[in-house]
Amino acid sequence: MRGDGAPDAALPAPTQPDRTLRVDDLWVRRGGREVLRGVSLELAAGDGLLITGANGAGKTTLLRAILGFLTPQRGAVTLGGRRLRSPAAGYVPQGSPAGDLPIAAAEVVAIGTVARRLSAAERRRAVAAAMDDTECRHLRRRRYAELSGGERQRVSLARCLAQDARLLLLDEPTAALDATARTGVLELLERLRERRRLTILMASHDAAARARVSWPVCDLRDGRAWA
Amino acid sequence: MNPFEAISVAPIARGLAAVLIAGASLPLAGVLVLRLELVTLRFTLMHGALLGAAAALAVGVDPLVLGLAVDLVLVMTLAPIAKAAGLRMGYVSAFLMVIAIGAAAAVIYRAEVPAPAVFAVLWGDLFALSRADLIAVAVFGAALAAFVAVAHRRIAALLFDREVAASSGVAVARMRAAVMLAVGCAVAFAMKLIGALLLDAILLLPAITAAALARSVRGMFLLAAAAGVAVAAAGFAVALVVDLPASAGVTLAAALLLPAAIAARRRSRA
Repeated sequence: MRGDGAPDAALPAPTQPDRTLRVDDLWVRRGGREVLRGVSLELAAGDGLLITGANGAGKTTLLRAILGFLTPQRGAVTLGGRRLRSPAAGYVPQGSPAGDLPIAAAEVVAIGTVARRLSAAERRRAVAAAMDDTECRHLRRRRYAELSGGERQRVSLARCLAQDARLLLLDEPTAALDATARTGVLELLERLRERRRLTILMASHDAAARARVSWPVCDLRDGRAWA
Repeated sequence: MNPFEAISVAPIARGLAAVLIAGASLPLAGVLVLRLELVTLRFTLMHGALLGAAAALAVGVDPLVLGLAVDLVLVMTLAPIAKAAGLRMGYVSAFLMVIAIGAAAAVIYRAEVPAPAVFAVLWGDLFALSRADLIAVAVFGAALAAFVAVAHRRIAALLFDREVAASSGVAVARMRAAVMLAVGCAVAFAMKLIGALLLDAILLLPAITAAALARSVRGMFLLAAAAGVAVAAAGFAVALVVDLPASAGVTLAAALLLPAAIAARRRSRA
């Protein structure tokens, strides 16, 4: 380093860790048929991708295979060159988990912190910060089952943020939402993607979602991905 | 007998201590049984404890020890068998239940074990607990409470959604095995205390009451434990005052608690 305080041009610029998601030639067989037939994707940090396709096209199967819940016949999923492992990816499944479980919204968000080594105070702060970021902190004591669809999605996204996930996999997050809630959730996703450089894969057959976000679209047909 | 005089008698004092410890801890396992839909497993474990009791009487050891051992074997083999056979856990649970009762009948016949002595475990006897039994109940109760306290976020994740739990970093299979182990031990201890036929009074009814009132998972566990202690204390006192078996008193108290809780919930929401 030079003594005059000017930046040293010879030093390399600090590098961001590679957080590229690569899905390489993924084949998944379920119920006697090949649901995914050689799907390949590549997303850099901060990229969004909308996965579309008819019912049964394999959208949920693709997300679950990326998460490792399904064992592919062939292919690999890597994040930053390494096999994707939990809790690197935050997952918001389709529908409403929990049923009638009496669980408070803040407890749902705290699920995201289970694998993080945090003190009790740090955990509380992480939950509060995540709920602030998704504008749902006022719901923290409400029962999750009593929240509206849009409120649940905000709480679920807060859970993923509390998890410190860099990759979000969302399965039909705007299904069964009214127009206002849908717009709110999509705007929030776009904001999180830009500000936090989150990589987001969103499976959706919601035409409004396609119109609202300016992400590339991957259409699943016959088990193959069509850009 | 005056209830206050009665509890100065050692077996009754031990029974009271055991039922209070059980009231505080077993409903924690009850919450897990209800929320993870392990009700079928509970029946299997009851039959397993019966097999353990038959085998224990045949070889002359404590029925609690062998009942516990059989239940542990059942909970540890259930998931691997279900996975290997490609069957639902409930089906395998029913299969193991039938095997257990069949094996118990065979042991009773071949070892010439008096059947009434084996079936006595269906009724339990709070006043027949030894000092060692009481210590075992206390150690298990403390271990169960510690498990729930330490792992309550992971348990909440498991109860919320298994795939969400897995994506959040919970080792779901290991966690579920730990939960089933806890449930297996809880059922074996509950059988020893109040018998198979009445164990739901202390295992499930406080948990159902808590589920009806709680607004959080943490609250559900705390309420279940509080309801369990209340049911145990009230049931034991009623049994002494009106000269009923303690297990019947506890069951009646538990049965009254749930409608009272539902009425209270309706009033608070009105």
